[in-house]
Amino acid sequence: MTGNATPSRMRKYLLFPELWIAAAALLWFVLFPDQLSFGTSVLVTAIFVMSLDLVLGYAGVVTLGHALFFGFGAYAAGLISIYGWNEPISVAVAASAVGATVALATGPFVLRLRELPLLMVTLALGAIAFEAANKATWLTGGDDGLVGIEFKPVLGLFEWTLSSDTAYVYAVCWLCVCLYIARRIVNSSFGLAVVGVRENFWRMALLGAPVQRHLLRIYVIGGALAALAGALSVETVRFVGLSVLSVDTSIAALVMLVVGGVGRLYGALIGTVAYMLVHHVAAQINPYHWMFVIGALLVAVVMYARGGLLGLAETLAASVTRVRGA
Amino acid sequence: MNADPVLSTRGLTKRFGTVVVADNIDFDLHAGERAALIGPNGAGKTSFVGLVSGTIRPDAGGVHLNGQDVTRLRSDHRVKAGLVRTFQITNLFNKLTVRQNLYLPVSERIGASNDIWSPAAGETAIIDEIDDILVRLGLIEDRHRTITELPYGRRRLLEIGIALSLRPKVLILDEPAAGLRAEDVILVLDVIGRLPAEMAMMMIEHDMQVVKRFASRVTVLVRGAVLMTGSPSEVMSADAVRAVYLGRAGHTRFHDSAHA
Amino acid sequence: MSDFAASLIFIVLYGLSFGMVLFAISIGLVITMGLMRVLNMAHGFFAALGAYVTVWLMFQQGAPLWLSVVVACVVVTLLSILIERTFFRHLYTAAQLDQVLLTIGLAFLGAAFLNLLFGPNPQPSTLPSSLAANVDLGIRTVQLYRLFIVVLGACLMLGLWWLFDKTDFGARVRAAVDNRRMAEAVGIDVDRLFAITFALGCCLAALGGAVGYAMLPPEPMYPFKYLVIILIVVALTGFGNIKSGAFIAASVGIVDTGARFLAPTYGSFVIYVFLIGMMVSRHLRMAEP
Repeated sequence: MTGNATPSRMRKYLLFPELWIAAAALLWFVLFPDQLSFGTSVLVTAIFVMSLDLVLGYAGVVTLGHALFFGFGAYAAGLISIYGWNEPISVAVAASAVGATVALATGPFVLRLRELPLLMVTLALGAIAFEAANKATWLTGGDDGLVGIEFKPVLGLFEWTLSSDTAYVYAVCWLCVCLYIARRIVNSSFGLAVVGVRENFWRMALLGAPVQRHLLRIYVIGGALAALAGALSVETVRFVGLSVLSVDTSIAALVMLVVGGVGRLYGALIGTVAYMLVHHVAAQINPYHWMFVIGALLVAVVMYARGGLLGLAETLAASVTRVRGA
Repeated sequence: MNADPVLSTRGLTKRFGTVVVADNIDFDLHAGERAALIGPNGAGKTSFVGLVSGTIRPDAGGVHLNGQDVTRLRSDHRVKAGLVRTFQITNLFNKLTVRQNLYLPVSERIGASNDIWSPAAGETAIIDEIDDILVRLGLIEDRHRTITELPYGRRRLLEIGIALSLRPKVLILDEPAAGLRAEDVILVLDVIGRLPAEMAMMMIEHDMQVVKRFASRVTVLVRGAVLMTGSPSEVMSADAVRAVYLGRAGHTRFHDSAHA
Repeated sequence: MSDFAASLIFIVLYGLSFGMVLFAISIGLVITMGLMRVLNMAHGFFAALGAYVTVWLMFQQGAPLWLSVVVACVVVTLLSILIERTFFRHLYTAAQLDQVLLTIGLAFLGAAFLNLLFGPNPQPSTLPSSLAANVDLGIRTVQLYRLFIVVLGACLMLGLWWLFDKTDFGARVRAAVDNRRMAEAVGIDVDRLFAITFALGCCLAALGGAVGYAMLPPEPMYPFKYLVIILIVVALTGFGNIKSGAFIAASVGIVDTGARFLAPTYGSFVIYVFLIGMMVSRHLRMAEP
């Protein structure tokens, strides 16, 4: 019962994927010591995109408003630290609790919608949050955002440095933790039930499954992880701006997930890395040309490479083993 | 035979426009009973199953399950209450494997689906139960194949497997042998023959051989109304029933079965 | 009292004209979504292009407004036929997520393309003097342009009503929206119907964008900027429900304009809250385990 997180073929070679992620991250650390702040943002974003995969990839909830949780987590972390409590790990956990609460509050009606109404409501909720944050400058700093955010050293030992090495390692650890949690959930009986709801809603109901409850649960988990990512981004960058709640953020996460491969967890990681690397390199150029790239990517993935990069990699691996076996 | 029926309908009526698909149907099913519902095409057999299972709302009358009035209860709640039906048009989880298709109902039944942490692959009790059903249905070799890779006949078998895995108190089989190859029919009949004794079972069937083999009681439905109820031989030799099955095919089927 | 009446007229007229532009742009989407069941996030692009071509013709080529609008509609319609035959037809049987992704991708491509052609800045959106003139309604003066739009919107409504209620084509579209399989079974060429309807929808969007250029100035992010409010109208209208489309669009226009006018701080929220309320109450699935 893999829940489609890991094809059984590859499982032999992966064992503990968290170790591989940590190893790859270490490699980057060693090879590009001056690109650690970029690396950190990739790691944090990967957690966010992974949380979207749980909701959209596994549960099939097509939402354009996942940044709602990211934003709430970010602002929660920023505000908690400004108002006195700035121990990073506990702030991150508290922020994820905020995200879970928002998901718990919105889930019961959002999750009863499908197709266009679902898209609309998730978009609208995101828009409302964005507008609210925009207007409530006393709380959020509005356009200028929240500044002067400081956090205590991680575990009391590791100071936050300008070169972002603490932030980087901190983010790697959180990514490994989140990946492990996500993997356990996805491979559990609950994980399979969520996939069942996605694959055939009505049949699941006819099996006596509490479909709304299953959906709400995965939505809350996704919201919590997204909020955690939001908090981590604030802790590592020490700034929160309106963009954390914008539709652009939701869409960017969607693009990263799709490019990497939906519903496979690792697709979220691959997609984030690929997208952000290309964006980092091409960012200097005209932002509209960047939209050509995103647009072309989306069209190409939908029409030719439905499984994203992960799907392509698997097809490649399959054809290689076929050739070998022939 | 237990006194109180596990499933009973009283005055069940449904109209679609001017067409009466269910006409004041009274029906009882007791624990351990094997009943069959027969009738010509369009008699309202599948509609009756829909009314009983909750996918169709009746215009009048009621449905009781284990003494509880379930007339207003949604179909998925009736499943939880122990009433399961199979579908003629298979409605499975196409991208999942055979094993996963069976894992879902079992997991829901025992509440394992609330476990977000333990790996599903490690649930040996569930997997053993699934494999047991698969062996009985002859599907064990297919356990890792996805539904889209499965031929139609095996999908129908899996449908029955799913119904069984829910351990219903009342099982309704909608033409379980229809459209199956001979070797699959044998499997289905074997499974039906080995249903738990306490389970109440009702099947819609056209094949009189099957009816004669399993059913202790046969109800004949014509134009939405119950024509008669009785043992298979009573029903099949009744003139009124014969008259309804006009035409050489029906007549021959009856004739052969009654005198087999 | 006259203050109140003046405000009321402003809200109604300006809201209504905004609504009429929204109606023109959205109605095409209502029809194509109802007919083809495609969630098309790129619809705004056709409206944007309509606006761009119109403005370009008027300000760069000195063409009169009416001619610019006509040419814009023709150009966009032809382009839409090309796009439908190449990309969109693949979406008719695609999964919902695929539709969203592909059309968002097309919207990105569209925005990038507009920027390439016309640059990142909003285009001049001044009105020709004939329309910029003010009309004195006694209680307050309003722009002729706004009245023009409302009249145009009314004509459009009548035209569409005639098309869908009184013609053969309209009957076929309604049949296909109601029950595609049945329509095919009785011999309606649904494939061709889709192509024609899609072109019609995009033409209407272009018309909306073209005449509405002063209200919704052309800029590369146009497809995204107005996507939400267009989708709001579509979502509230329901698919294929053309008659209520005008009413809904008008309501949305008025509600949004009114809310922003009356309560500038919180006005922008109103339309979203309104949408969420409507969606939830209407679409709440009855069967929930």
